[in-house]
Amino acid sequence: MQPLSAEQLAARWTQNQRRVESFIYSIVADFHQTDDILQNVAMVVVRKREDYDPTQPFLPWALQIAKFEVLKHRRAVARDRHDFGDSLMEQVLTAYQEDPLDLSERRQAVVDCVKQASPRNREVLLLRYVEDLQPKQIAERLHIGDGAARMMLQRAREAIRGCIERKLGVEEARHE
Amino acid sequence: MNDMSARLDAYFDGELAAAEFALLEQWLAADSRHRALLVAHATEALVLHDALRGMETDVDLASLPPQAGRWRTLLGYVHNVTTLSWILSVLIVSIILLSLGLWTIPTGQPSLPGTERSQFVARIERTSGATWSDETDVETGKRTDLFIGQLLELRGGWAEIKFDRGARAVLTAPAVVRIRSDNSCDLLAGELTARADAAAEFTVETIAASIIDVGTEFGVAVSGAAVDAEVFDGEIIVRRNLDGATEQRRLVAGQAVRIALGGNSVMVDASAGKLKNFVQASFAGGLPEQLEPLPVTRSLALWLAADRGIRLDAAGGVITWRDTLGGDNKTAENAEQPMASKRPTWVAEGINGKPAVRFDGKSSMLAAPPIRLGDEVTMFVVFKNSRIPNLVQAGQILNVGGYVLEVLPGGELRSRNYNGEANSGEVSASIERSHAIVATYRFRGATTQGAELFINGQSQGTADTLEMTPRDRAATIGAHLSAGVFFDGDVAEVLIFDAAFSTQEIELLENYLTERYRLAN
Repeated sequence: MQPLSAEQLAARWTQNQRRVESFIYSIVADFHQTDDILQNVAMVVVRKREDYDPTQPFLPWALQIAKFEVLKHRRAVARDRHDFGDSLMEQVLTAYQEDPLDLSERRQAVVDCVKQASPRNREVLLLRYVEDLQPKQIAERLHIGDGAARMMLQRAREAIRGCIERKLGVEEARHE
Repeated sequence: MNDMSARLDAYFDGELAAAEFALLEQWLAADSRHRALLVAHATEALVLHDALRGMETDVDLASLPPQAGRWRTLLGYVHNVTTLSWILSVLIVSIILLSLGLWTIPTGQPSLPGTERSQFVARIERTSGATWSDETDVETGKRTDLFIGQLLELRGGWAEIKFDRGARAVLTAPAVVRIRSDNSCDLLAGELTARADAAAEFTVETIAASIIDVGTEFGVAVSGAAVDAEVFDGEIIVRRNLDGATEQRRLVAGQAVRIALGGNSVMVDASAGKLKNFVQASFAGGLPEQLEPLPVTRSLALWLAADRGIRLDAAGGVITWRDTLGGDNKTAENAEQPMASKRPTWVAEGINGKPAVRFDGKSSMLAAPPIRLGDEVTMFVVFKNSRIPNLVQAGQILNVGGYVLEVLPGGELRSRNYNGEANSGEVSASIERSHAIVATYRFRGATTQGAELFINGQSQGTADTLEMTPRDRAATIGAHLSAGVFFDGDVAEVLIFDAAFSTQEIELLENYLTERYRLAN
């Protein structure tokens, strides 16, 4: 079995990195931890490239590595969150192998929609998705109540989701 | 479904109570469509995370006109995916542009008349550790004549091409080049440095511009996001066609330009050295690897030196640190870091005026694919630690599948080997902070006093060793992969040999490194 060259490995990783990252995030629900685990997965992929059979799909192999890294991370880090059980994690992993989501259009729609968002909505989205603050922390930052922070965040999400769906709907209509 | 969507939001927000979480688990386990919704929410959150983070700093993105959207999406994605894949990205973009006819042959340049092998216009003059793709019709280690249209994909090492009209170009792997004429080539991906006389007007065509030499030495690099050109000496012309008009700029020594790829790209001036760390070939003295041969190369398994084979991203992070081939080291196990946020940086004067790779002690590290090592190993590291680790765990400088060199919280250097069950061969010695040293660790199988640590040639002691089974061992530089103990300091050179060297051999190599880095004995 001829192992992948660095370029071939890079190509397959590029095609699948987002999916692997999303799988990790779906399990750990934390951007920083996702980033750390993804880093370890990337390293293991590089180190174990000779174990990978290039005739087989790359994603299942990478997701298996991701699963083990998530489990390893769980053992190493004390978390204050609830964790999915192993069998559900397997089911989620399978879902990622089946999901054909194309991110490039969606990402552009998100960028456009965030640009159009009201300053208040953009602020609360930045606090949640860039600074990785939970609603309680957002409330503290904005000097508002917890409930108000949750409401603001949910409204901002709904506005963004509506905008994204409209944009993607328009794009799809254009291509029909 | 809306309730569950809100519950999924609450899950990702970390807001679910135990009972609510149990309900969510049941709901997800019950139906694959529910899990698809989880996937959609996770993906959306990451896209938002990414897009919002990008908007904080990505001024270009915001200023691009709407018609560039589709192009921007592709490039934005390529640019933001932090991977090893720049070369593939460039090739994909090149192929797309070529197939769409968007990368046209500039006016005044000879069109490619095919691949007639009688039209030899250049030759490979010298190589160093060069490895080529299977499709590249080049005989390794021999002078090869090159014909118009010939495509060269250099996978490892360096290669110098001499064109018939006198120009010389040095390719640094990985790179893809096509010969255009006796005085020009296409750089499809990767980087080259070139030198030619003023009258020759040697030209390098890239995806974004023509780089025309008017008597100089310069570097060109084509990455997934931009084309960089930098003048080392003399002068070049950077020319590109933009909406039917020709934009031309002259650059002199010390200047550089970056042309972002995309629908509305602009030239950005910079001073040389800001954009790219070119591996500047020494045209007079030979290729980089040939300058300083190792005094001992038997059983060489890995050789990393910070003055060669470093590939940087635009922010100065080390993407790849290439394994230098030579002696018994026949295959390149390059140390890599796919993720931009975890890359160490490269510093020109890290250790006594010599380049080094700088690890931040927080997140940066490199990993190399496995190398076959037996139960006898000798490894050398030239390094300087900037900070004594104040954690319980040590900051690992080098870990080759259990053969370890690390800085302890108390400020000692420790060597050891871990065979999966127990540590052995532990030898420690005090080192000074910010003081460059060469550390050598020799391991002789399972034996009494089988391990010995040297600092700047002086033995620091020996220890008994347990068995290490011969197997493939991956190398990690700057951290322990899973324990997350990071080294804070500079590493200039790493040598790993699959043999327990004699004292004489160790002395030869230590003298070589001591002299090379002007280390105090």
